[in-house]
Amino acid sequence: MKVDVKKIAKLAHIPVTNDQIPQLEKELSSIITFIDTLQQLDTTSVESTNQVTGLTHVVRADRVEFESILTPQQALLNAPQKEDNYFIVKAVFENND
Amino acid sequence: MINIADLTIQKAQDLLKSKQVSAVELAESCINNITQHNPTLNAVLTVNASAIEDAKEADSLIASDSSIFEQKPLLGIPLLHKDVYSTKDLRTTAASKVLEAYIPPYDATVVKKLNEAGVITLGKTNLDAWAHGSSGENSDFGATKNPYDLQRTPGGSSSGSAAALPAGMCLVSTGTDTGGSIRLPAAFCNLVGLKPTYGRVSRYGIIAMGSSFDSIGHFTKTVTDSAKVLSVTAGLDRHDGTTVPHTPPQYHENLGSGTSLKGKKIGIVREFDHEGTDRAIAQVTRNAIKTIESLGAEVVDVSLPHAQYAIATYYILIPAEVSSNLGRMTGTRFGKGYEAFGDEAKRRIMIGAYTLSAGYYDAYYNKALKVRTLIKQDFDTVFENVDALLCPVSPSTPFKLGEKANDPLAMYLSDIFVAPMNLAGVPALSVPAGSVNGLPVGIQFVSKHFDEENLYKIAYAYEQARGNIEGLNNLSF
Amino acid sequence: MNNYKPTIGLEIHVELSTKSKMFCSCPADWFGKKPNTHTCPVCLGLPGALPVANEQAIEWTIKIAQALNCTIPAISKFDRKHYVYPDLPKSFQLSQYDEPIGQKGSLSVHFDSIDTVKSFGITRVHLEEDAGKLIHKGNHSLVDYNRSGVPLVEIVTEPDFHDSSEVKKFLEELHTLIRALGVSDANMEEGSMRLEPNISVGLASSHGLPPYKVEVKNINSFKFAKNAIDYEVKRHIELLEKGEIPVQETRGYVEKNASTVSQRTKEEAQDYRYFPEPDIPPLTFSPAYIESIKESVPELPSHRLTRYVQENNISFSDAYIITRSTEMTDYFEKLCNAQVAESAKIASMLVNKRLSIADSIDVSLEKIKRALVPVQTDEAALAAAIAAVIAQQTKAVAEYKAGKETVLMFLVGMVMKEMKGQADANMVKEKLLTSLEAH
Repeated sequence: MKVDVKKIAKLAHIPVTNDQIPQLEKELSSIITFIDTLQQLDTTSVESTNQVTGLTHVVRADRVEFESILTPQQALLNAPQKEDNYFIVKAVFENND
Repeated sequence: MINIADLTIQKAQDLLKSKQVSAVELAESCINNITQHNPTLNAVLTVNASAIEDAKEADSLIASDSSIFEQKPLLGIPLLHKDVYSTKDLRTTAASKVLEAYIPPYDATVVKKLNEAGVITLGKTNLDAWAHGSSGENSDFGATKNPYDLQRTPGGSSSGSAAALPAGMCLVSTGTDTGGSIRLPAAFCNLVGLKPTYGRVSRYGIIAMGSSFDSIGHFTKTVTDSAKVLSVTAGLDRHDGTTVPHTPPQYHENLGSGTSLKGKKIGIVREFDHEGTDRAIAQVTRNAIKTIESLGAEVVDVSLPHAQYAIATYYILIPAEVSSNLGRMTGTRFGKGYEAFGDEAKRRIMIGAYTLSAGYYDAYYNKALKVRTLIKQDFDTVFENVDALLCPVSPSTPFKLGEKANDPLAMYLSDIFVAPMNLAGVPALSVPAGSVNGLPVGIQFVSKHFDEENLYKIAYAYEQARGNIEGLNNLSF
Repeated sequence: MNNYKPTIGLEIHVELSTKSKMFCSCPADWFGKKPNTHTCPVCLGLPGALPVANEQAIEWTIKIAQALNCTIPAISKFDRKHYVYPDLPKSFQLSQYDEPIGQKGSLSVHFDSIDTVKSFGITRVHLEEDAGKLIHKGNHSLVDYNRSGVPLVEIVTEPDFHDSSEVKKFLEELHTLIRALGVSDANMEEGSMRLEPNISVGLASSHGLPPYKVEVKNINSFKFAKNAIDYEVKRHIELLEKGEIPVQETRGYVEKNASTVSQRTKEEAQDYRYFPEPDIPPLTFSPAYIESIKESVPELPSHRLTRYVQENNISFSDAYIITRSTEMTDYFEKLCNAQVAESAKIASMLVNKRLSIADSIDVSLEKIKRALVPVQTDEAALAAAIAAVIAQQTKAVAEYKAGKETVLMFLVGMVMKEMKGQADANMVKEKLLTSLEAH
């Protein structure tokens, strides 16, 4: 199985240089070939399991808890760039969603 | 100085209660060992500067109130946290350059519970970055070394937490077990390592790897110590919607006599007895089976027919959850971009993005969710018939650093005996069982969901009957 | 123009006015607050933080879905929707993919009369979290996460619309409905209701949908939605006339010249890589739970409109205006309950601003009474009118005698009609009561 490293990298937002591609192609291909072994199993009548606790409908009451609110200083503590209690990012104009 | 390397929590508590030793002395001895051995072992990434202050406070509590241990069962016990546990005001890196300078503004629920129980947090331990790995070599801050052989891995991903105990750097260390990351290093470092049931211990505040897998456990030297810690960490957390509501027992008070396993039925998994396993390790497992038989347990052959698909299933589901969970680590709030991730994180993010992408979801992700059902059903079926399973932990003894570092797939296969339990969510306890060529070998007991009490009873009886582990290398630092 | 037929579908986002956010206990009222003062590890997406769903928000989403005649499934769940953007701290949005809370419904809208009703299909109603807010400032942008994690309901319609005025009317009805449910202030200026039309244009003669659609994002007024659609339809027709098919893309509305600009084409379309949120167990709704929420749904504006017109003889235009806001309707109903005049009269006074909802009920009632006082009441004529009505309305009189007091208003109305409105309502009521007693 040959994988399109450039396409996957773009999807995953991982910057990849041309000289990294052969190695990544080898590694990703071997992993994908390995995980493809699941195709041997017939799972047509099997349900999916994405959680193992069996819990359902765990919700919280609509209540404000002031003790868990961070101060703006705490919220911005690790921000690389900040200004007047705002996080700063490079200009973005278009709203992607 | 006290010999921390040979000390248990149980013994330390006796000494603290009888005032033969102070919390400050315990903490200082540990910090001394960290200062002395960490340059060799690279187990600890950050030391808590206020640890001695905290120990002084513990001592004054002990001096003023003789009943304090009832409220604070782990008062004065020195502890190290795996560096994926969020610790308020104490750097938390996940051993990745991406979070190199991250100071959490909050404590993980387990950190809070342990603090309330009186532990002295000494610092944070090294790991495979983001807990991705089985050897510790994926750490952005260098690999941790095995105290029993510096050429070898202590196991991963909780590498630093495991190496710290034999080196006398703490009396208990925390870990996370997503696919064996506590049990494998416990086996490699001659420790008791608990992977609790998924949902038993809160994940809130612990940096997620595989959200539907991550189990929050710990390393100790004995089964009793392990039970003492779970008695503190277990239970419902309203900040983690996947913790179950029923109240856990006080595990350490329910270990039983430790002298008999009469009436217990223990299953041996047929599929785990295969040629890939080191013969000497298979022999250690057989000796352990003999030991539990001598305690009166009935040993039966059982089958987990889909366990052979566990690693492939795991390496579809985990990268998918990883690719999602790591998205929050970059950019606006932490400053680094995706290029700052290490190779293994990049591989997992890419595989995850691929298997979740349009057109592939059903073939990979949803397929793996279905196989997960089959694997879980295997365990459910087996536990209708037996009280616990006894299995090997690793197919080999601690491997040499560098041996598998360039072969991701070979590294993944180190987890063949430990990953199936994470897919099913069942609890498992890795216990020292012997040695091969001077290196530690462990076995694991596995039980049905939320039956840690039973697991501890069996492991406690085994530990008593097993006696001391012979033939281990002298600690080599 | 007549050769072409526009097809329009809508996505509407509504912010719920819960006290706390969707997945954490931070306050949800973000508008006008100091930046980054309403955040916690969960809504900031800090490593290790986990979401727990707000029960009230789930209930209110069910309520909206029920008001839109949707089916509520027994099981629902949250999914992660992945995209990278600075206002989205986790790089995924907690949303719902294949098991939304509300499925397959409809909303009926009255146009110019009680008989011109059109029903528009609702594809789905789902619950998700809002993103933070970006403020653009020269070569950088500021990020405020106060809005991050506020509960957001997304309503998706079928492509059932064919012109912009239909869309505007539908949106107004939906806005009224949401406000009547008391689950959101649906304040357009503050962005608590945001609109995204999908537009395509095909030949009027052809069946089926055109092979493309253009989405216009985040519009915050009904007028802008209409403008955007009008602009797009014209643009598409011009392209089609030249033999081109418009490009499938996302566009943004430009307020200053009522136009749109391209933001993203199909080739750059996102792959959201949805998967079920592992941190939140599935939601389960028992029939009893669904029923209990249904019982809490108030009478809907369109139902009231019909009732006012058909049962209370109120003109369509008056009834339409009165049913546009809960405040107005509630006030109106209180005035009617005092039984001092026909509801049609009250409606007309209210709509013509001879009454104000800013006044107390008592003040308004006085105004109504004064308005109803004629120069003089011809008492002889009144006595004759009362006698005539009692004689004619035997059924109503019998009902009144049997204890159904609400019939009194009807009888008062009939007498007033007989008097051609030239009588004091209070006197009418008084004399009528005396006569009924004696009857």
